[in-house]
Amino acid sequence: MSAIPGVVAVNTFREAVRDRVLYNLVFFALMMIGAAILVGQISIGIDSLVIANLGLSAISAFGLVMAIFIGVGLIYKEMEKRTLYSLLAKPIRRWQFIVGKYAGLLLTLFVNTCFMTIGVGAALLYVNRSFARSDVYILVAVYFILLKLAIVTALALFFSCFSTPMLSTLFTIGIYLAGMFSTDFLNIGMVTQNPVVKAITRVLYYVLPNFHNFDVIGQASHGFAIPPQLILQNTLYALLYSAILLVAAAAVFSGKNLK
Amino acid sequence: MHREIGYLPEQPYFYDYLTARELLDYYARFFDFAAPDRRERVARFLELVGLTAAADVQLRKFSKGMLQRAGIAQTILHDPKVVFLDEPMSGLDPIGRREVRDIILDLKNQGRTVFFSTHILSDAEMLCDRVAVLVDGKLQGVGAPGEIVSMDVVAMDILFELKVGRALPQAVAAFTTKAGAHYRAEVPEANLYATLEKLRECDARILSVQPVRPSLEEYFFRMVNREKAASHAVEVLAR
Amino acid sequence: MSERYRNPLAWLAAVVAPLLLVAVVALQRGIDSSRGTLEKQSDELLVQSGPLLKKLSLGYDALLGDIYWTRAVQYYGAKLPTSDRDFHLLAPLLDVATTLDPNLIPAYHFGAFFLSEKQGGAGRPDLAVDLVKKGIAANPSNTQISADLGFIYYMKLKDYDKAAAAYLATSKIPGASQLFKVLAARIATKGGALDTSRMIWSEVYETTQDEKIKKHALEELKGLKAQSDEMQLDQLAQDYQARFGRYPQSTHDLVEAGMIKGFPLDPDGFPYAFGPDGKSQLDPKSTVTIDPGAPTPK
Repeated sequence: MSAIPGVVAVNTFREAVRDRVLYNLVFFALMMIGAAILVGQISIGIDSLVIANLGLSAISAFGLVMAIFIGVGLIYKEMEKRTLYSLLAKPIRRWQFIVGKYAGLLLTLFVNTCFMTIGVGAALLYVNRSFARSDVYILVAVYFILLKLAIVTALALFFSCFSTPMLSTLFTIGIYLAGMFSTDFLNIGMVTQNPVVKAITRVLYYVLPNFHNFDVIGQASHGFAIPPQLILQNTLYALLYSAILLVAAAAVFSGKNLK
Repeated sequence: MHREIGYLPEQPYFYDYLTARELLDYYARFFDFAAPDRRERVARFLELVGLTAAADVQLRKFSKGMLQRAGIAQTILHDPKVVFLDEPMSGLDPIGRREVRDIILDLKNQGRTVFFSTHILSDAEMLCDRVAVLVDGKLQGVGAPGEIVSMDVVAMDILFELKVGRALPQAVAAFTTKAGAHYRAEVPEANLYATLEKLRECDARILSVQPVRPSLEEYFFRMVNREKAASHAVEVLAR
Repeated sequence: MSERYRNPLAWLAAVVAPLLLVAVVALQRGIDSSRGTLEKQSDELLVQSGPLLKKLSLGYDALLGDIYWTRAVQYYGAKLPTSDRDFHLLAPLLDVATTLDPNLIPAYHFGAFFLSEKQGGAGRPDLAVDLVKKGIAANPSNTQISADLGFIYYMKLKDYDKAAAAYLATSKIPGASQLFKVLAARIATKGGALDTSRMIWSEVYETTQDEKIKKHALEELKGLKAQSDEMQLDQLAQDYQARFGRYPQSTHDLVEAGMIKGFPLDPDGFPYAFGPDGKSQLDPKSTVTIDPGAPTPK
């Protein structure tokens, strides 16, 4: 196990930073400041609830946008700009390249999310004057968002290996939406009489990545406890699903004839 | 195997948000050099291609020639014995071409084997120890440029100008063309002195006398039909 | 002048752009008024779809719930000063907000009062009961909304059995005040009574965090005080009539007769007056109101 994926990862991270991706944090900060001040003004009795909901929702939304829009270009850009050719002449295996790119984007998302979480914490502190013990669940919610982003990034990366950014974006968003509604597929299957539909919806439910697993924003902002076994299960789910996608991506990329 | 060869693709793009030093460092990390060794190599090869001054400038600001030199640097920083350069001169201005030419010669002097491909036949003639000519992807001939093209003199080329009011002698006019304000006569080597005598008789001023040798270009076109001439690659070896 | 200032296109743009912006603003106003009717209708459409909205919100339902709650508050606040007493969107808005976030306590609490209230609200205690019951189901350990159910039954629906039951249930919640047990007992035996009402409104006034509800509770308490004062004054008027053969013309008469010490003032600081039938009344300048639908004894 060499450090080569790490080298690629650090470089991917550096590219994101120099591409001024992290500037989105400025916008985020402004938004949180605005919200913190506003909730005080309109006083609807749920100040910290709104801060927590808004902050977590924004972390999720910004993260998704970043994961998808950077992810779909990860491999494609290198192929198109031909930077790949000089790279592959070096002693690097194709799968190491894939893993490195993935890790780099994940690192970018992690750093971005950390800053945002600090921002949310600061806003909460401003509104509440102190932290409550139940605020720790907000951190759990952030962790779940990161897990969700890990899968979405893997998805985007996978598509990036063989399709243009435009199409990859559509595919990734499509699967994300399908994954959010996968429980409804299951319900349709339960309601219908048709055995074929039943079977298909069941398969769909298990095959599609179920992103709903990671939705705990409402609970976290209310300070309700999140069961510890869910934390473990979701971690494993994200690991497993990402691994499957990465293996598939590496396979596609290894077989690709680069012209 | 990757350690023994270096490869520079045609019109390489690099990560333009990196500096030259960072680019070389990035590629160097794929080999297992220790950190001090890596740093030293990066500095050394930046020096070799003449990019030390611009080492910490982002690649997006580099000229094409500088990019090409950076590309060559990353190709050789792991000391490969054999180097492949795909169209290393393409798109360069005369300064850039000179720089790359000098580097290729340097590499040759360091004892490396350099393969490069080019459309520019005069470069091949000038730089290469051995040349392979491909037409339609098929090898037509391999050998030193001097071997492929015979060194026999084919004719003599005389550049001269006429005094005002004097006409061109009949005998010479047959193989003379106008070249701007001057005239150019091409005669077989045997007839050189006779022609010069005729020109002396009409007080013409001789500007230059040169032997005409067949060139690689003529050889190439001889290999190829006129219609197909535009689209072929010539691969050249240099030792 | 430097090169930049010589550029005619730049000057043109600098002049034309603000004009265009003004035109855009004017146009927007026109569009807003043209769309006036459309907006009303779309409000209706958007509001009916609670569970669907929750599905569509892709995990952002908690935030959306907050937004709908804000809309509900603003809807109420905008309609209140107008003469338009039609708050028909209030219940749906609150329902959607609480479907999106079932733990939105302030929404249930708000709905308990302003859905059931006739003067400053939707006047639909039945809808209020539905909403609050939904709130209790989702938040069984919250004493505030549990008590609010009792409030609605007692104050607005005058259903004393249900009211007593609700307050009893509230008293069983861990950490609930002893007051609720007392209220349950009182209502069960006596039904509607002035001091019971006063206890309930006091409790609301003390514990609510909603400014509007607090203000409302204060108004009600003032009204109850006035009501209690008037009852006393009516009795005194009868006594006066018995003694002097006529009704008192003002509280001044009562003071002169030595029946009361000092001039009684209503919670707003105005003196009480007497009608020709001997019934005491509030000064017309007073802002105190007595709730005509106040609970009465069983």
